[in-house]
Order: sequence, then C-alpha cells, then structure tokens
Amino acid sequence: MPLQRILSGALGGAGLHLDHRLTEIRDLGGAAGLSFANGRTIEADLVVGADGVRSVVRRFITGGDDTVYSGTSAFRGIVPVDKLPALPDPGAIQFWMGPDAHLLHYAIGGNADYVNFFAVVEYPKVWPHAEKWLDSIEPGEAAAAFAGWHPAVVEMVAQHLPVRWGLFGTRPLLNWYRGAVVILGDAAHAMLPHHGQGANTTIEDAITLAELLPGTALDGLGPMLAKYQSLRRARTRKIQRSSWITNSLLHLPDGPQLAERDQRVTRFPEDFGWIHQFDALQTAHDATQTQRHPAPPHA
Amino acid sequence: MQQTEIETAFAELVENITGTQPARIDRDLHLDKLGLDSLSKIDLAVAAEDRFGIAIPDEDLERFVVVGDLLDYVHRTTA
Repeated sequence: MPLQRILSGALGGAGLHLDHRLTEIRDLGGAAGLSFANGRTIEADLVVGADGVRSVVRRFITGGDDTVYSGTSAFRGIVPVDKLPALPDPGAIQFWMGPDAHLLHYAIGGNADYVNFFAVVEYPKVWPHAEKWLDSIEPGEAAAAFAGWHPAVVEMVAQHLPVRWGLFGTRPLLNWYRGAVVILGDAAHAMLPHHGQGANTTIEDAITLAELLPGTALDGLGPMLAKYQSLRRARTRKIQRSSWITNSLLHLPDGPQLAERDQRVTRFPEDFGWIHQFDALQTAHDATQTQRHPAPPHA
Repeated sequence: MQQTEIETAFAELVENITGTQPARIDRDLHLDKLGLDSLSKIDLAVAAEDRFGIAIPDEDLERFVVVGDLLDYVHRTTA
C-alpha cells in the first residue's frame, strides 16, 4: 500500500508496533493505560484512536456502542476490462442507479486494465453478525439482485462474488475525546461510502490534530482537543448525513422524483463543492493563528 | 434554562452560521426562511449542542421545521 509506505517511512519504522489489538483503556488521571490482546500494557500521555467503525477507543469515550447498521449491503469485485465487452467506457467513473440498488465502478491498475465495482442493495434489513461485517452469500445471489440491468452491470455482478459487505456508520457523537484519549476517522464519524470521503475526512482529522498538537503542553491537552473537536464535528456530521441522503437518491423507485434527482446530479460540482474544496490544513492553521494572536479588543 | 435566554443564544447561533442577524425570533418562522437548509441545520444543531451541552440526534433534527421546534427542544432538554 503506497499510503502505508509513506506513513511508515515518515515515522522511520521505530515506534511502530504491529500485532497489538487494543482490548481496554483505563483512565489514569492525566494519562491513559492501554491493554492489548497480546498481554502488553502501556501508559500513554495521549491516545489517538483510529480504530474504525467498531472502535474500542470510542467505547471508552462515549461509554456505549454508537455503531449503526444502515440496512444496506454491498457486493464488491475487481474485473479485467476484457471480461466487460458491454461496458461503454471502462475508464470512466460511473454510477448506475435503479430502484433500491446502485452500482459504482471505476478503473484501477497501472494501465487501467481492471474495473473495481461496488454494488449496493437495500438488504438485509437486520445484519446477522455481531462483530463481522462480511457475510457469505450463495453463488449467483449478486447476479440475481441485478437481473435485467444494463448488460455491463450484469457482466460485473456475474463474477464469482462469495461475500456481501454490511455497510455501517456511527451516530453523530457529542464528544470525540475524554481526558487524554481522542478519536479520528471512522471511529469518530463513520459514514456511508457514497461520497468517497471516509479516508479523506480521516486524513483531514489527522492534519487538524497534527497542526494543533505542536507546542501543546500536557496540561493543555483539554483545550487543544476541544479545539480539534470543534473544527471537525460539524463538517463530518454534514458529510455523514449527506451520505445517507445520497443513498436514498441513488435508490429511488421509478416516478416523478427521478427527474428532480437527475437535475441534482447535473449540479454535482456546485452542490458538493463544500466537500471537495475544503482545505483542512488552512482551516486548522487559521484556528491556531487566531488562538496565538487573538484579535485586538475594539477601541 | 429560561426561554428568553434560549432565544437570545439562538439568534447568535443563527447569525454565526448564516452571517445575518435575525430581525426577530418568530416562533412560527420556517428555518429555511432564516437561510438554513438541511445541511446548515446541522451546523445549527452542532453549535446548539456545544452552546447548551445537549445532544440533538439527526432524527430529532429532521423534525425541526419552524424556529419554535428547536427552541422548545432546547428548553425541554435543558430543563
């Protein structure tokens, strides 16, 4: 993974400990005690939990399970372009929308010779597993869900697809930190994938923390984490909400609403500019400048 | 929390989000008439949560149509 190489390279390898599954956090008053499944325990001045939608760190902060199953699931696959003769433009990013389902695909690979697709359906209404987000499916189940769709869609879901992915989010949280423990990414604001913003908003969170953290004394962690939360909470909650609304728009039944939805699709760059034009670094930088150089009082 | 206190704070929050100070707080005024669409209503909810120390879940926020809906919610939840 190029991103993992960049991140581990920046860290230099030292201090990177793999195979540590967090099982418990204890409040040590000013610090946090962490216990791992491999038996190790450590004390930390600051814990940044980036441990996903089923975050153990979030459970310590909010005291509950804030995971929400969306009632939707996805079939995913990677198909060589030469297996998709009916696909009009294999290099395009395309959404195919229909009643209660949609399929998104885009090209991947150095020469764009594969198509990665993601097909979402409005079931099962109840997810059958407590911890797992993968569920085995019968051969042909995905194909049956998209029977009668465009031949290119049919070609994609005709591939060997052994599992469905449950799509989960988190309910919007009031608090992203407790003491010296804070969360980011899916742990703080897991969303449905329809804006493609899960990883991007996580990187925005990380940039914001990285900008606020330098120069923060240990006894100043509280105000710094409060600032981080206030910079991130509204934006990510809006994208979360919008991802759920987008799910409904992608899955509209036949009817008069389709024309309005299709109009909205043509305004995509204007309507969603607030998502894509956001500058997390500048926003965090401006916030630290305001903090360090408060505006002079009015004369 | 007193109703008038909530109204004053509400006017400030709306001004911070829309950039316009509401001329008056009319309980029957639709939130969209204050320049609040479905997404900026989330800005308002998050700001109100921080200001009043309460949680406003999405499903409750969805039901706020007029100004009075939000004022009553804050009044009830902070009581």
